[in-house]
Amino acid sequence: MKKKDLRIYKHPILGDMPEKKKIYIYFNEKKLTAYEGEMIAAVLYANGIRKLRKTERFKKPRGIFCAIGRCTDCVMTVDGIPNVRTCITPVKNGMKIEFQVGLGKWKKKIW
Amino acid sequence: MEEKDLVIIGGGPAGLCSAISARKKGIDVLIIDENLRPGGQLFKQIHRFFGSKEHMAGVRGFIIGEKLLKEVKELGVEVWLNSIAYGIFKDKIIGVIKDGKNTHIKAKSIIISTGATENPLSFPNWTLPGVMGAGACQTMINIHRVLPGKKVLMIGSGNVGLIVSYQLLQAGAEVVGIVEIMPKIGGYLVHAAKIKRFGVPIYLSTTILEGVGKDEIKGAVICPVDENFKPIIKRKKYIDVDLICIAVGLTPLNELLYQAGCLFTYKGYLGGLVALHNENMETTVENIFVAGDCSGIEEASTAMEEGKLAGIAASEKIRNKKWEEEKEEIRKHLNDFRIGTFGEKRKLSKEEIIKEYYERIKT
Amino acid sequence: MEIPERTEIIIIGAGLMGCSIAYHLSKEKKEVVVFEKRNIASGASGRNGGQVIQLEGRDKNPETIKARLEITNENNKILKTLEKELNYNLEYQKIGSLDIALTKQEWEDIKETIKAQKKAGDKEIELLGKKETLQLCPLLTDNVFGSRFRPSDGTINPFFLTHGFAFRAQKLGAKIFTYTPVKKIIRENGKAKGVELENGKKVFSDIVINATNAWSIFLCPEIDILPLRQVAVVTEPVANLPVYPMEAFIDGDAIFTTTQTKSGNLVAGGFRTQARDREEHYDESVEPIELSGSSAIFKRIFKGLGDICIIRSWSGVMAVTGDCLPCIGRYPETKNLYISAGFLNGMAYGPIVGKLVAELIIYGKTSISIDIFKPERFYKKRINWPKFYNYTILAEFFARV
Repeated sequence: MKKKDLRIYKHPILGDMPEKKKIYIYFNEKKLTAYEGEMIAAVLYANGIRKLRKTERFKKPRGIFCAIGRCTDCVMTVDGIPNVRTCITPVKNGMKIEFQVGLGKWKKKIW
Repeated sequence: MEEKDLVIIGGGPAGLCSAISARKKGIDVLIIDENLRPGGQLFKQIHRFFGSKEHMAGVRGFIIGEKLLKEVKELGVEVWLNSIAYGIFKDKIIGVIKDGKNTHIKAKSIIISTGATENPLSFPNWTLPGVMGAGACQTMINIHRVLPGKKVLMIGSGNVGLIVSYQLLQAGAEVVGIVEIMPKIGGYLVHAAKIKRFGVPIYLSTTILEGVGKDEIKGAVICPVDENFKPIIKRKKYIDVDLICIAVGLTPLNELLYQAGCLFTYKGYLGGLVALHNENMETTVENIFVAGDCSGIEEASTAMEEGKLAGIAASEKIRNKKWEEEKEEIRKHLNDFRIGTFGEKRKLSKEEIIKEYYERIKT
Repeated sequence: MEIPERTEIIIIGAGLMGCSIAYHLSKEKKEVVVFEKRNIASGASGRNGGQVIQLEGRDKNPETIKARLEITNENNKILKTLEKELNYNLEYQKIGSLDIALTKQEWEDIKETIKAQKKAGDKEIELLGKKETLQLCPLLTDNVFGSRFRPSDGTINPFFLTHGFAFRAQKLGAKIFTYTPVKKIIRENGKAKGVELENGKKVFSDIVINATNAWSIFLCPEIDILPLRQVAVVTEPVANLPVYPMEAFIDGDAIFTTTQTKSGNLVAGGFRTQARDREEHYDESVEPIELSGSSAIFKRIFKGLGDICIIRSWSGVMAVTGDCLPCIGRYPETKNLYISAGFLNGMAYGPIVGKLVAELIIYGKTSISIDIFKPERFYKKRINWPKFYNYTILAEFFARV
């Protein structure tokens, strides 16, 4: 696990990574370690997961592009709600993140 | 409906500075920001800023950010975070989604400081995971503290390209090269020199032909260009990278200004379509002001000065007072920043904007 | 492209009507020039929900039901093969439409309407009870009493429909000048001679057609056609929601939702707008209260769509005549002038009306009778419209007269 962790724990300017509370999230059933305050997409990238969704028409893979919530390239299905901008949505303990194909499916019962 | 004297949309360097200067004039100020903390892109700037001492030169961006936040807090400026200003309606009514709920707020005066967005660059496979904006990469490494890739190719040698390359090195990534289509480095040579000291090659008169990979980026093909910017295909070269960063400029985020009915003009040196404004940063719609990158792409230092100027000018109108000397001082600072080849051009463009403002406001 | 000195036929307005007429005339080798104040489909043609609904509203008059059915049936026939004919993707989906009742009173009204429409010769209309309605559209609120279902209704992309006609017309030689406003129609000795543009230039023609719908009165002041503004919103794309194009009258508001566009967005509109005077109905901006009102529609009609985001809103201007039916045909007392305006529900009329107007111009008669839409019925007749109005106030006005 440690090997695949792409977090920057030590930094010459910013110093050591501040201590944060450890929590867990799920990416397609897989349990991942996250820290409180981290954004969903950052946790996935830290675990080497860069393919976040596939597009509706051409089924092309997409990852983070702008990282500030502008471009909507990083949208995924979070706790049953599709099209959530994962680069600006913080993780919550037990959150279920799913790879999204096209427009995704509303898992949450809406009717 | 709640009413406010001054609503500032966007709490980046421009927005924070305008809030501070208006609050100091006793104005009731509200900042609306869609992020979970204000500061805009300041907190990912870990390099030292240029300019003179009195403008916090030599201070790192995120430290400036912390200082501004502290001041905003001490002055008691109201800040709505996680709040998206989605529209400006008639009579300066702003539609806001605050914590997921729709609400409206009426303002006497509005300052729009929504910043900018990164320009994309299209080449085959530019949509694959592993291609991202240089600013996005900067957010990843300096804010989220995650490396989005280990071997990086940077497209563009402007200041953003150079600075982010250096910061990638600081974060522990390998930068395999910087590609620049022009025959000359775009950014300040001070930044370029730092990069070169690390042995990072800067490929001038070179472009990217394609990204390589099926599900994510595994490599890139770069290629020199001739004097007409045509690729010299037989000299193309494959390089092994897992991240391609695009640093080819920014575009002002001006949707709200457009919606509010402001008139625009095209200024290439300022990043594209920008709202016309006068020497007080007031747009063609009375009591709607603009400041920072969304009024034309410059730097954080100019954004902060423009913010102060807009904040004082908006306060003048609300309080029906004049603080001409203070404003003149800020304008002088702004001109001090606008030096050098690019600075001069931006200064000229800004002057043209003010001139056009007065021509078009008449008709 | 230079504006000609003269041409055979001038059409004013490049909305659905103007473009459809231009296409059908160009197909018959007529020389056509279209002048448009803004861009193609800038008015109601690009601002509606794209519903192809034959008998919009609750018509109980056997005479108008018959006439409307005849012409809109023919419209449906054209739509069946239009994509092929224009070689243009129109996103036409014939999936039926619902008129739902959320109150007992509405339910009685729907039952009465269906009775009247069946009696007038409507064969396909169906009355669905609560259970059947919810089976068809499980997303609807449990408060629904029942609905009217018409299987041959559907939706279409209104931009594509208008642009499809415009594109094909231009291929056949029609010239469309956008951002070229017409100041007035030149009329001399009881004849239309051409138009004068806003910039002062005059263009002469054998025939002039006014297809400006809500703006028609500025060029043809003898016929009082009233602008009526309505607001619409569109949601983020959602995959495969079971929805139908729908009308509902809730507290006097004519609320519509449309089925999803091909990309999955849901369009809804018709929330009560504040009463405005005539001039203010041309305002195409949206007020904050109308936006919150529109999102309230979703909550009221559908179960739990609250998490879906509205991504855009707009308003558009429809046109109302003294009897809510359009004005189509020769303009009285002015030779060579034609009008096709006053549409509340253009998608069900555009394709066929373009064809009929072309027939009228070329052959002097139409293959389907358009007598009931004759412009004469309102010519130089003052209508005592309420000074401040919205949909609800107009509905009350029509109920009185």
